[in-house]
Amino acid sequence: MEFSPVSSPTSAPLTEHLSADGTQTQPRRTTHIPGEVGTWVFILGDMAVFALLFGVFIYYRGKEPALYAASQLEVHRGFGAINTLLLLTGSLFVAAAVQAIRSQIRRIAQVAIGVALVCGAEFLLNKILEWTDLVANGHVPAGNNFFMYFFMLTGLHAFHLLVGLGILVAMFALSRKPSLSKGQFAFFEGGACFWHMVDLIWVVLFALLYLVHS
Amino acid sequence: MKPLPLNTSALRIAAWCGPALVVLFFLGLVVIAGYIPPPSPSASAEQIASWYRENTTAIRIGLLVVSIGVALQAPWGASIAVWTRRGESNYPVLTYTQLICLGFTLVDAFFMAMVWGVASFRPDEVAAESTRMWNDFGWFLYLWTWPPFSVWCLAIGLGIIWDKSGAPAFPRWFAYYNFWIAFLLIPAGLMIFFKHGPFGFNGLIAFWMPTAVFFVWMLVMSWMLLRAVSAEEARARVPSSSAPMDVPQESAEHA
Repeated sequence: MEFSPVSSPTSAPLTEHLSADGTQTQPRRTTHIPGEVGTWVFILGDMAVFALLFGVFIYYRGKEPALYAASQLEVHRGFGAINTLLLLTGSLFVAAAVQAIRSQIRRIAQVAIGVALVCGAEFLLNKILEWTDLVANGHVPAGNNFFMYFFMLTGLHAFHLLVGLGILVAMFALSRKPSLSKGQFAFFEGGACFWHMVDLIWVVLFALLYLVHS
Repeated sequence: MKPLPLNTSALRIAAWCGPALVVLFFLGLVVIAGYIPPPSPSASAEQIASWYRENTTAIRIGLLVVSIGVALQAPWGASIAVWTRRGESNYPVLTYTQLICLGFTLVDAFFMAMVWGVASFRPDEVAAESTRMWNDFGWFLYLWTWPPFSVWCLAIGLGIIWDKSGAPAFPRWFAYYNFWIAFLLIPAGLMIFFKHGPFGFNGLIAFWMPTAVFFVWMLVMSWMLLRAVSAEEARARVPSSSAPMDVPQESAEHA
Protein backbone atom coordinates (compact mmCIF):
# COMPACT_ATOMS: atom_id res chain seq x y z
CA MET A 1 0.00 0.00 0.00
CA GLU A 2 2.41 2.61 -1.22
CA PHE A 3 0.29 5.59 -1.97
CA SER A 4 -2.82 5.35 0.14
CA PRO A 5 -1.72 7.98 2.69
CA VAL A 6 -1.19 10.67 0.10
CA SER A 7 -3.48 9.78 -2.77
CA SER A 8 -6.83 10.38 -1.22
CA PRO A 9 -9.28 9.90 -4.09
CA THR A 10 -10.77 6.45 -4.21
CA SER A 11 -13.64 5.32 -6.35
CA ALA A 12 -16.14 6.22 -3.67
CA PRO A 13 -14.89 9.56 -2.31
CA LEU A 14 -14.35 11.16 -5.72
CA THR A 15 -17.36 13.35 -5.15
CA GLU A 16 -16.16 14.37 -1.72
CA HIS A 17 -14.23 17.31 -3.09
CA LEU A 18 -17.34 19.08 -4.22
CA SER A 19 -20.59 18.97 -2.37
CA ALA A 20 -23.93 19.01 -4.13
CA ASP A 21 -24.07 22.77 -4.46
CA GLY A 22 -20.59 22.90 -5.89
CA THR A 23 -18.82 24.46 -2.92
CA GLN A 24 -15.57 23.00 -1.66
CA THR A 25 -15.84 20.71 1.29
CA GLN A 26 -13.06 20.00 3.72
CA PRO A 27 -12.48 16.24 3.60
CA ARG A 28 -8.92 14.93 3.64
CA ARG A 29 -7.54 17.50 1.25
CA THR A 30 -4.51 18.15 3.37
CA THR A 31 -1.76 16.34 1.44
CA HIS A 32 -3.22 15.26 -1.86
CA ILE A 33 -0.58 14.62 -4.49
CA PRO A 34 -2.05 14.38 -8.00
CA GLY A 35 -1.50 11.01 -9.62
CA GLU A 36 0.58 8.68 -7.55
CA VAL A 37 3.90 9.43 -5.92
CA GLY A 38 5.78 7.46 -8.57
CA THR A 39 4.50 9.73 -11.33
CA TRP A 40 6.48 12.51 -9.73
CA VAL A 41 9.65 10.45 -9.63
CA PHE A 42 9.32 10.29 -13.39
CA ILE A 43 8.21 13.88 -13.98
CA LEU A 44 10.82 15.50 -11.75
CA GLY A 45 13.48 13.17 -13.15
CA ASP A 46 12.54 14.07 -16.71
CA MET A 47 12.52 17.78 -15.91
CA ALA A 48 15.96 17.43 -14.35
CA VAL A 49 17.25 16.01 -17.63
CA PHE A 50 15.76 18.90 -19.60
CA ALA A 51 17.27 21.33 -17.10
CA LEU A 52 20.64 19.72 -17.83
CA LEU A 53 20.02 20.06 -21.59
CA PHE A 54 19.08 23.74 -21.16
CA GLY A 55 22.29 24.26 -19.20
CA VAL A 56 24.33 22.59 -21.96
CA PHE A 57 22.65 24.80 -24.55
CA ILE A 58 23.36 27.98 -22.59
CA TYR A 59 26.97 26.91 -22.01
CA TYR A 60 27.62 26.36 -25.72
CA ARG A 61 25.71 29.50 -26.66
CA GLY A 62 28.13 31.42 -24.47
CA LYS A 63 30.99 30.13 -26.61
CA GLU A 64 29.59 31.39 -29.93
CA PRO A 65 27.19 34.24 -29.05
CA ALA A 66 27.30 35.86 -32.50
CA LEU A 67 26.49 32.64 -34.35
CA TYR A 68 23.60 31.79 -32.02
CA ALA A 69 22.18 35.30 -32.23
CA ALA A 70 22.34 35.32 -36.04
CA SER A 71 20.88 31.80 -36.37
CA GLN A 72 18.08 32.59 -33.96
CA LEU A 73 16.80 35.26 -36.33
CA GLU A 74 16.28 32.52 -38.92
CA VAL A 75 13.71 30.57 -36.90
CA HIS A 76 10.08 31.61 -37.10
CA ARG A 77 8.86 33.15 -33.88
CA GLY A 78 5.32 32.97 -35.24
CA PHE A 79 5.41 29.16 -35.24
CA GLY A 80 6.80 29.18 -31.72
CA ALA A 81 4.22 31.62 -30.42
CA ILE A 82 1.27 29.78 -31.98
CA ASN A 83 2.58 26.51 -30.60
CA THR A 84 2.95 28.02 -27.13
CA LEU A 85 -0.65 29.19 -27.31
CA LEU A 86 -1.79 25.73 -28.46
CA LEU A 87 -0.06 23.94 -25.59
CA LEU A 88 -1.26 26.41 -22.96
CA THR A 89 -4.82 26.00 -24.26
CA GLY A 90 -4.41 22.23 -24.23
CA SER A 91 -3.18 22.35 -20.64
CA LEU A 92 -6.15 24.43 -19.59
CA PHE A 93 -8.53 21.88 -21.09
CA VAL A 94 -6.67 18.95 -19.52
CA ALA A 95 -6.99 20.65 -16.14
CA ALA A 96 -10.69 21.20 -16.83
CA ALA A 97 -11.03 17.51 -17.72
CA VAL A 98 -9.58 16.48 -14.34
CA GLN A 99 -12.02 18.79 -12.56
CA ALA A 100 -14.87 17.39 -14.65
CA ILE A 101 -13.90 13.81 -13.79
CA ARG A 102 -13.71 14.73 -10.11
CA SER A 103 -17.20 16.16 -10.35
CA GLN A 104 -18.24 13.12 -12.39
CA ILE A 105 -19.34 15.16 -15.40
CA ARG A 106 -17.96 12.74 -17.94
CA ARG A 107 -19.34 14.49 -21.02
CA ILE A 108 -17.32 17.64 -20.29
CA ALA A 109 -14.22 15.59 -19.54
CA GLN A 110 -14.50 13.89 -22.92
CA VAL A 111 -14.90 17.16 -24.80
CA ALA A 112 -12.03 18.79 -22.87
CA ILE A 113 -9.65 15.95 -23.61
CA GLY A 114 -10.76 15.99 -27.23
CA VAL A 115 -9.83 19.68 -27.45
CA ALA A 116 -6.47 19.03 -25.78
CA LEU A 117 -5.79 16.22 -28.27
CA VAL A 118 -6.54 18.53 -31.19
CA CYS A 119 -4.21 21.19 -29.72
CA GLY A 120 -1.43 18.65 -29.29
CA ALA A 121 -1.84 17.22 -32.80
CA GLU A 122 -1.91 20.74 -34.25
CA PHE A 123 1.30 21.53 -32.36
CA LEU A 124 2.96 18.51 -33.93
CA LEU A 125 1.71 19.45 -37.39
CA ASN A 126 3.10 22.98 -36.97
CA LYS A 127 6.38 21.53 -35.78
CA ILE A 128 6.69 19.33 -38.86
CA LEU A 129 5.88 22.30 -41.15
CA GLU A 130 8.44 24.40 -39.29
CA TRP A 131 11.17 21.74 -39.51
CA THR A 132 10.45 21.15 -43.20
CA ASP A 133 10.63 24.86 -43.91
CA LEU A 134 13.91 25.26 -42.02
CA VAL A 135 15.49 22.31 -43.83
CA ALA A 136 14.22 23.64 -47.19
CA ASN A 137 16.03 26.90 -46.39
CA GLY A 138 19.26 25.04 -45.73
CA HIS A 139 19.11 25.14 -41.92
CA VAL A 140 19.90 21.49 -41.22
CA PRO A 141 20.97 20.01 -37.85
CA ALA A 142 24.50 19.54 -39.17
CA GLY A 143 24.57 23.15 -40.39
CA ASN A 144 25.77 24.80 -37.21
CA ASN A 145 25.63 24.30 -33.45
CA PHE A 146 22.54 26.43 -32.96
CA PHE A 147 20.52 24.36 -35.39
CA MET A 148 21.93 21.14 -34.00
CA TYR A 149 20.52 22.08 -30.57
CA PHE A 150 17.37 23.50 -32.11
CA PHE A 151 16.50 20.21 -33.83
CA MET A 152 17.72 18.05 -30.93
CA LEU A 153 15.78 19.90 -28.25
CA THR A 154 12.59 20.40 -30.26
CA GLY A 155 12.82 16.79 -31.47
CA LEU A 156 13.23 15.43 -27.95
CA HIS A 157 10.32 17.58 -26.84
CA ALA A 158 8.19 16.42 -29.78
CA PHE A 159 8.89 12.82 -28.74
CA HIS A 160 7.58 13.63 -25.26
CA LEU A 161 4.55 15.27 -26.82
CA LEU A 162 3.91 12.13 -28.87
CA VAL A 163 3.99 10.02 -25.69
CA GLY A 164 1.69 12.62 -24.11
CA LEU A 165 -0.79 12.27 -26.98
CA GLY A 166 -0.86 8.52 -26.39
CA ILE A 167 -1.60 9.16 -22.72
CA LEU A 168 -4.37 11.61 -23.67
CA VAL A 169 -5.97 8.94 -25.86
CA ALA A 170 -5.91 6.55 -22.89
CA MET A 171 -7.41 9.30 -20.70
CA PHE A 172 -10.14 9.82 -23.29
CA ALA A 173 -10.96 6.12 -23.13
CA LEU A 174 -11.10 6.33 -19.32
CA SER A 175 -13.42 9.33 -19.44
CA ARG A 176 -15.95 7.20 -21.32
CA LYS A 177 -16.19 4.73 -18.46
CA PRO A 178 -19.15 5.07 -16.09
CA SER A 179 -16.82 5.16 -13.07
CA LEU A 180 -13.11 5.04 -12.40
CA SER A 181 -11.25 2.85 -9.93
CA LYS A 182 -8.72 4.43 -7.60
CA GLY A 183 -5.87 3.32 -9.86
CA GLN A 184 -7.58 4.62 -12.99
CA PHE A 185 -8.20 7.98 -11.39
CA ALA A 186 -4.55 8.19 -10.34
CA PHE A 187 -3.57 7.44 -13.95
CA PHE A 188 -5.92 10.18 -15.14
CA GLU A 189 -4.36 12.73 -12.79
CA GLY A 190 -0.82 11.53 -13.49
CA GLY A 191 -1.45 11.74 -17.24
CA ALA A 192 -2.66 15.31 -16.82
CA CYS A 193 0.51 16.15 -14.87
CA PHE A 194 2.64 14.64 -17.66
CA TRP A 195 0.84 16.83 -20.18
CA HIS A 196 1.50 19.92 -18.03
CA MET A 197 5.17 18.93 -17.90
CA VAL A 198 5.33 18.73 -21.71
CA ASP A 199 3.75 22.19 -21.76
CA LEU A 200 6.13 23.61 -19.15
CA ILE A 201 9.22 22.29 -20.95
CA TRP A 202 7.98 23.87 -24.17
CA VAL A 203 7.50 27.26 -22.51
CA VAL A 204 11.15 27.22 -21.42
CA LEU A 205 12.27 25.91 -24.83
CA PHE A 206 10.30 28.65 -26.59
CA ALA A 207 11.99 31.32 -24.52
CA LEU A 208 15.43 29.76 -24.90
CA LEU A 209 15.37 28.95 -28.61
CA TYR A 210 13.17 31.69 -30.06
CA LEU A 211 13.29 34.70 -27.75
CA VAL A 212 16.31 35.06 -25.46
CA HIS A 213 18.70 37.28 -27.31
CA SER A 214 22.11 38.37 -26.15
CA MET B 1 1.36 -29.62 -5.46
CA LYS B 2 3.10 -28.35 -2.37
CA PRO B 3 5.40 -25.43 -3.17
CA LEU B 4 9.08 -26.14 -2.72
CA PRO B 5 10.88 -24.33 0.09
CA LEU B 6 12.30 -20.94 -0.75
CA ASN B 7 15.98 -20.90 -1.73
CA THR B 8 17.04 -17.46 -0.66
CA SER B 9 20.75 -18.19 -1.18
CA ALA B 10 20.30 -18.46 -4.94
CA LEU B 11 18.21 -15.30 -5.02
CA ARG B 12 20.71 -13.37 -2.92
CA ILE B 13 23.69 -14.50 -5.01
CA ALA B 14 21.83 -13.47 -8.17
CA ALA B 15 21.05 -10.05 -6.69
CA TRP B 16 24.69 -9.51 -5.65
CA CYS B 17 25.78 -10.24 -9.23
CA GLY B 18 24.55 -6.70 -10.03
CA PRO B 19 27.02 -4.80 -7.83
CA ALA B 20 29.73 -7.30 -8.80
CA LEU B 21 29.10 -6.50 -12.47
CA VAL B 22 29.31 -2.77 -11.80
CA VAL B 23 32.61 -3.22 -9.94
CA LEU B 24 34.10 -5.41 -12.68
CA PHE B 25 33.00 -2.95 -15.38
CA PHE B 26 34.51 -0.09 -13.43
CA LEU B 27 37.77 -1.97 -12.88
CA GLY B 28 37.97 -3.16 -16.48
CA LEU B 29 36.84 -0.11 -18.42
CA VAL B 30 37.98 2.72 -16.15
CA VAL B 31 40.89 1.55 -14.03
CA ILE B 32 42.71 -1.07 -16.12
CA ALA B 33 41.97 -0.55 -19.82
CA GLY B 34 41.08 3.15 -19.71
CA TYR B 35 38.15 3.18 -22.15
CA ILE B 36 36.38 5.63 -19.86
CA PRO B 37 36.58 8.59 -20.26
CA PRO B 38 36.04 7.71 -23.94
CA PRO B 39 38.36 8.88 -26.71
CA SER B 40 37.09 11.67 -28.92
CA PRO B 41 35.02 10.47 -31.91
CA SER B 42 37.03 12.96 -33.97
CA ALA B 43 40.40 11.47 -32.96
CA SER B 44 42.55 10.50 -35.94
CA ALA B 45 43.05 6.86 -36.89
CA GLU B 46 46.70 7.22 -35.93
CA GLN B 47 45.84 8.53 -32.44
CA ILE B 48 43.46 5.62 -31.80
CA ALA B 49 45.84 3.03 -33.22
CA SER B 50 48.78 4.30 -31.18
CA TRP B 51 46.67 4.16 -28.01
CA TYR B 52 46.02 0.47 -28.74
CA ARG B 53 49.70 -0.11 -29.56
CA GLU B 54 50.99 1.54 -26.41
CA ASN B 55 48.49 0.08 -23.94
CA THR B 56 47.90 -3.34 -25.51
CA THR B 57 48.35 -5.47 -22.39
CA ALA B 58 46.34 -3.21 -20.07
CA ILE B 59 43.54 -3.07 -22.61
CA ARG B 60 43.45 -6.87 -22.97
CA ILE B 61 43.39 -7.44 -19.21
CA GLY B 62 40.70 -4.81 -18.73
CA LEU B 63 38.52 -6.35 -21.43
CA LEU B 64 38.93 -9.81 -19.93
CA VAL B 65 37.68 -8.44 -16.61
CA VAL B 66 34.73 -6.78 -18.38
CA SER B 67 33.79 -9.96 -20.22
CA ILE B 68 33.64 -11.82 -16.90
CA GLY B 69 31.43 -9.06 -15.51
CA VAL B 70 29.08 -9.33 -18.48
CA ALA B 71 28.32 -12.97 -17.68
CA LEU B 72 27.02 -11.96 -14.25
CA GLN B 73 24.19 -10.14 -16.00
CA ALA B 74 22.53 -13.52 -16.66
CA PRO B 75 21.68 -14.46 -13.05
CA TRP B 76 21.08 -10.82 -12.13
CA GLY B 77 18.58 -10.20 -14.93
CA ALA B 78 16.89 -13.56 -14.37
CA SER B 79 16.39 -12.69 -10.72
CA ILE B 80 14.49 -9.51 -11.71
CA ALA B 81 12.26 -11.55 -13.99
CA VAL B 82 11.29 -14.09 -11.30
CA TRP B 83 9.93 -11.33 -9.08
CA THR B 84 7.79 -9.68 -11.73
CA ARG B 85 6.79 -13.13 -13.06
CA ARG B 86 5.05 -13.71 -9.73
CA GLY B 87 2.74 -10.77 -10.37
CA GLU B 88 1.83 -11.80 -13.92
CA SER B 89 -0.90 -14.16 -15.13
CA ASN B 90 -0.31 -17.39 -17.02
CA TYR B 91 0.48 -15.27 -20.06
CA PRO B 92 3.68 -13.67 -18.80
CA VAL B 93 4.49 -11.54 -21.82
CA LEU B 94 6.34 -8.91 -19.79
CA THR B 95 8.57 -11.56 -18.22
CA TYR B 96 9.40 -13.05 -21.61
CA THR B 97 10.11 -9.55 -22.94
CA GLN B 98 12.53 -9.00 -20.07
CA LEU B 99 14.30 -12.28 -20.75
CA ILE B 100 14.68 -11.61 -24.46
CA CYS B 101 16.03 -8.11 -23.80
CA LEU B 102 18.32 -9.54 -21.13
CA GLY B 103 19.69 -12.06 -23.59
CA PHE B 104 20.25 -9.40 -26.21
CA THR B 105 21.90 -6.91 -23.86
CA LEU B 106 24.21 -9.60 -22.48
CA VAL B 107 25.35 -10.57 -25.98
CA ASP B 108 25.66 -6.89 -26.85
CA ALA B 109 27.90 -6.10 -23.87
CA PHE B 110 29.96 -9.22 -24.52
CA PHE B 111 30.45 -8.24 -28.15
CA MET B 112 31.50 -4.77 -27.07
CA ALA B 113 34.36 -6.28 -25.07
CA MET B 114 35.16 -8.74 -27.87
CA VAL B 115 35.21 -6.14 -30.64
CA TRP B 116 37.58 -3.97 -28.64
CA GLY B 117 39.53 -7.13 -27.95
CA VAL B 118 39.92 -7.66 -31.69
CA ALA B 119 41.16 -4.07 -32.01
CA SER B 120 43.79 -4.82 -29.36
CA PHE B 121 44.76 -8.18 -30.93
CA ARG B 122 47.31 -6.95 -33.50
CA PRO B 123 47.21 -3.15 -33.57
CA ASP B 124 50.78 -2.99 -34.84
CA GLU B 125 50.08 -5.20 -37.89
CA VAL B 126 46.81 -3.82 -39.27
CA ALA B 127 46.17 -0.39 -40.76
CA ALA B 128 45.33 2.36 -38.26
CA GLU B 129 41.95 2.87 -39.98
CA SER B 130 41.02 -0.76 -39.24
CA THR B 131 41.85 -0.36 -35.58
CA ARG B 132 39.78 2.80 -35.40
CA MET B 133 36.87 1.09 -37.11
CA TRP B 134 36.85 -1.71 -34.52
CA ASN B 135 37.16 0.90 -31.80
CA ASP B 136 34.17 2.80 -33.23
CA PHE B 137 32.24 -0.45 -33.54
CA GLY B 138 32.76 -1.05 -29.82
CA TRP B 139 31.30 2.37 -28.98
CA PHE B 140 28.32 1.60 -31.19
CA LEU B 141 27.78 -1.59 -29.22
CA TYR B 142 28.00 0.45 -26.02
CA LEU B 143 25.56 3.27 -26.92
CA TRP B 144 23.78 2.65 -30.21
CA THR B 145 22.13 -0.48 -28.79
CA TRP B 146 20.03 1.44 -26.24
CA PRO B 147 16.50 0.44 -27.45
CA PRO B 148 16.45 -3.12 -26.01
CA PHE B 149 17.79 -1.69 -22.73
CA SER B 150 14.90 0.78 -22.68
CA VAL B 151 12.35 -1.92 -23.50
CA TRP B 152 13.85 -4.03 -20.71
CA CYS B 153 13.29 -1.19 -18.22
CA LEU B 154 9.76 -0.59 -19.53
CA ALA B 155 8.90 -4.29 -19.16
CA ILE B 156 10.17 -4.28 -15.57
CA GLY B 157 8.24 -1.08 -14.78
CA LEU B 158 4.99 -2.34 -16.29
CA GLY B 159 5.45 -5.65 -14.48
CA ILE B 160 5.57 -3.72 -11.20
CA ILE B 161 2.60 -1.47 -12.05
CA TRP B 162 0.44 -4.40 -13.15
CA ASP B 163 1.49 -6.77 -10.36
CA LYS B 164 -1.56 -8.88 -9.52
CA SER B 165 0.00 -10.96 -6.75
CA GLY B 166 -1.36 -8.87 -3.89
CA ALA B 167 2.11 -8.74 -2.31
CA PRO B 168 4.25 -6.91 -4.86
CA ALA B 169 7.98 -7.48 -4.60
CA PHE B 170 8.81 -3.87 -5.49
CA PRO B 171 7.27 -0.54 -4.47
CA ARG B 172 5.22 1.23 -7.11
CA TRP B 173 7.44 4.32 -7.32
CA PHE B 174 10.22 2.01 -8.45
CA ALA B 175 8.20 1.30 -11.62
CA TYR B 176 8.35 4.98 -12.51
CA TYR B 177 12.07 5.02 -11.79
CA ASN B 178 12.40 2.29 -14.42
CA PHE B 179 10.33 4.32 -16.90
CA TRP B 180 12.62 7.27 -16.25
CA ILE B 181 15.70 5.17 -17.01
CA ALA B 182 14.06 3.96 -20.23
CA PHE B 183 13.66 7.62 -21.28
CA LEU B 184 17.15 8.63 -20.17
CA LEU B 185 18.83 6.10 -22.44
CA ILE B 186 17.26 7.68 -25.55
CA PRO B 187 19.98 10.33 -26.17
CA ALA B 188 22.58 7.56 -26.55
CA GLY B 189 21.17 6.97 -30.03
CA LEU B 190 22.23 10.47 -31.09
CA MET B 191 25.88 9.41 -31.09
CA ILE B 192 25.59 8.25 -34.71
CA PHE B 193 25.21 11.87 -35.89
CA PHE B 194 28.12 13.54 -34.10
CA LYS B 195 31.89 13.51 -34.01
CA HIS B 196 32.20 16.12 -31.24
CA GLY B 197 30.17 17.91 -28.59
CA PRO B 198 27.69 16.66 -25.97
CA PHE B 199 25.98 14.21 -28.35
CA GLY B 200 29.18 12.50 -29.53
CA PHE B 201 30.11 9.11 -28.04
CA ASN B 202 32.26 10.85 -25.45
CA GLY B 203 29.69 13.60 -24.77
CA LEU B 204 27.75 14.60 -21.68
CA ILE B 205 24.30 13.80 -23.07
CA ALA B 206 24.99 10.77 -25.26
CA PHE B 207 27.57 9.05 -23.05
CA TRP B 208 27.91 10.32 -19.48
CA MET B 209 24.24 10.71 -18.65
CA PRO B 210 23.05 7.30 -19.93
CA THR B 211 26.13 5.59 -18.47
CA ALA B 212 25.74 7.16 -15.04
CA VAL B 213 22.01 6.53 -14.74
CA PHE B 214 22.29 2.98 -16.05
CA PHE B 215 24.93 1.82 -13.58
CA VAL B 216 23.22 3.62 -10.68
CA TRP B 217 20.02 1.88 -11.79
CA MET B 218 21.82 -1.49 -11.56
CA LEU B 219 22.83 -0.72 -7.97
CA VAL B 220 19.36 0.51 -6.94
CA MET B 221 17.81 -2.53 -8.65
CA SER B 222 20.17 -4.86 -6.76
CA TRP B 223 19.21 -3.24 -3.49
CA MET B 224 15.51 -3.68 -4.36
CA LEU B 225 16.15 -7.35 -5.18
CA LEU B 226 17.79 -7.96 -1.79
CA ARG B 227 14.90 -6.17 -0.10
CA ALA B 228 12.43 -8.41 -1.96
CA VAL B 229 14.30 -11.55 -0.85
CA SER B 230 14.14 -10.47 2.80
CA ALA B 231 10.44 -9.68 2.52
CA GLU B 232 9.76 -13.06 0.93
CA GLU B 233 11.70 -14.78 3.71
CA ALA B 234 9.60 -13.03 6.31
CA ARG B 235 6.44 -14.01 4.50
CA ALA B 236 7.52 -17.63 4.18
CA ARG B 237 8.08 -17.83 7.95
CA VAL B 238 4.60 -16.69 8.89
CA PRO B 239 2.44 -19.76 8.14
CA SER B 240 4.75 -22.23 9.89
CA SER B 241 5.16 -20.22 13.08
CA SER B 242 1.46 -19.21 12.87
CA ALA B 243 2.08 -16.55 15.47
CA PRO B 244 -0.56 -13.88 15.01
CA MET B 245 1.86 -11.29 16.37
CA ASP B 246 4.00 -11.72 13.28
CA VAL B 247 1.28 -10.60 10.95
CA PRO B 248 1.34 -6.85 11.52
CA GLN B 249 5.13 -6.90 11.34
CA GLU B 250 4.99 -8.79 8.10
CA SER B 251 2.50 -6.47 6.49
CA ALA B 252 4.46 -3.48 7.71
CA GLU B 253 7.45 -4.81 5.88
CA HIS B 254 5.53 -4.77 2.62
CA ALA B 255 4.01 -1.38 3.12
